[in-house]
Amino acid sequence: MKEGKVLVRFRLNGKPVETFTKPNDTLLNLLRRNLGITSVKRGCEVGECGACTVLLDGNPVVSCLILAPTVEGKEITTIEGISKEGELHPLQQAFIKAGAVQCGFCTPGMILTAKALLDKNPNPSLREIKEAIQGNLCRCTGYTKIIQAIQLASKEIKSSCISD
Amino acid sequence: MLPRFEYVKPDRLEEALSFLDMHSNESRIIAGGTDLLVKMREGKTRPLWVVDLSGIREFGGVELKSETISIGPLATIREVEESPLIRDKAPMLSAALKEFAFWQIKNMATLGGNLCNASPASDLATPLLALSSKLRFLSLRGERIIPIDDFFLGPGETAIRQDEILAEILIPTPKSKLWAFNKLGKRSAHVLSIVNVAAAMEISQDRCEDLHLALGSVAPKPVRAKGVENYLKNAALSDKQIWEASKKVVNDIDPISDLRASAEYRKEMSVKLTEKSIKDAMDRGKT
Repeated sequence: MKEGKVLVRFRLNGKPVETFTKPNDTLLNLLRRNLGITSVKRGCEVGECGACTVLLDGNPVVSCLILAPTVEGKEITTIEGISKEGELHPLQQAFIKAGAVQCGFCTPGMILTAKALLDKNPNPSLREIKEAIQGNLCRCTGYTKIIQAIQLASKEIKSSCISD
Repeated sequence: MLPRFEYVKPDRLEEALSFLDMHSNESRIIAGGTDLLVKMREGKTRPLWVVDLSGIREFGGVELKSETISIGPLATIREVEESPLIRDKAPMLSAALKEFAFWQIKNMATLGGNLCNASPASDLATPLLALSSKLRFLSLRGERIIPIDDFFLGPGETAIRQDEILAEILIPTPKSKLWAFNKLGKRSAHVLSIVNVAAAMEISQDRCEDLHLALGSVAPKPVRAKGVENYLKNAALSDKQIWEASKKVVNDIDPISDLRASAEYRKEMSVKLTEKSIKDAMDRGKT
């Protein structure tokens, strides 16, 4: 171990990453500064706003409250990791179709939380959607369209499963 | 940026205990990190060492050991909320954790971390108090088990010793199916409690055989409402009797006025929520 530096190895969007981090750096800083993933937004930095949400082993977490060295061996997914072969994820398409993006600051985190929800529960009720996105604040207050987009994506995913 | 510290991740329990024995004053344990990182960012704690216990396998998971539910201190809020064992044997805990923070935090925050941070407003402490839980600590000197009633000393203060690690949360399987958890906040989501109440009850022939009632966010630490419990012991459960008992709760609490609510409001709501919780628990016996 280098003095004051910690080696951390994890998977980012399916690809292995090996990098040195300061022990007192957060995952948010590591992603934005060291790895250039600026879709992970720096908002409140105290775990209240959800703008820095990433998926850790498939579950939404706030990267501002995760120490970078603690992601050793984990799988991290950011918005860059959810499209497949250049095609946007059904949630991304639904957010566009429903007009669920205003300023866009909350969008990456919002979509990642929604993806974790649909992966777990492909047919969520309105209440379950509202509960899932409690921790992702949209200060444009565009929740109605965000919820519509998640419902739309849920339908799209179901119908594509049937046609498959 | 967080203040500087060094990061250690022991792989084995013995290593962790030895490290804490040598560096207890300068170390802070990191579990989920959701409280510690905020405190470090605000400069409220400045450890030289941050000790990550996530490599210690025996600190995770939920299991039934004979008649006792055993929860590892590193089990996350989500894991415990969704555990089929907890839903079956201690549904009050599951219901309380449903109200805890929000999804991202639930995936990170741990039971051990929440208890050791000793927030007077913890939504976890009240159900554990009402369920007569015990806590097991380990240090190089050995093991210590205490009732959770003796654990909280004040805001952020607990009976844990510097060189000790919280190793296990023990809940005797509740005999009664009568329980309630009620939380009052400014909104229904994403808020700290103004007051929360957990009740576990046993009834025999319309009389209260046993009541365990705990309240959060209305005293420097989560408290048992012994005055109410004793008043109702062996009493007939009429509406009037329950109301008289609920009024006694003001003697068991010592609320402050803060950003969330005034002390007067907390007192009134403690009485109302105590009454509601006793009635909610009784209603479970009717269905």
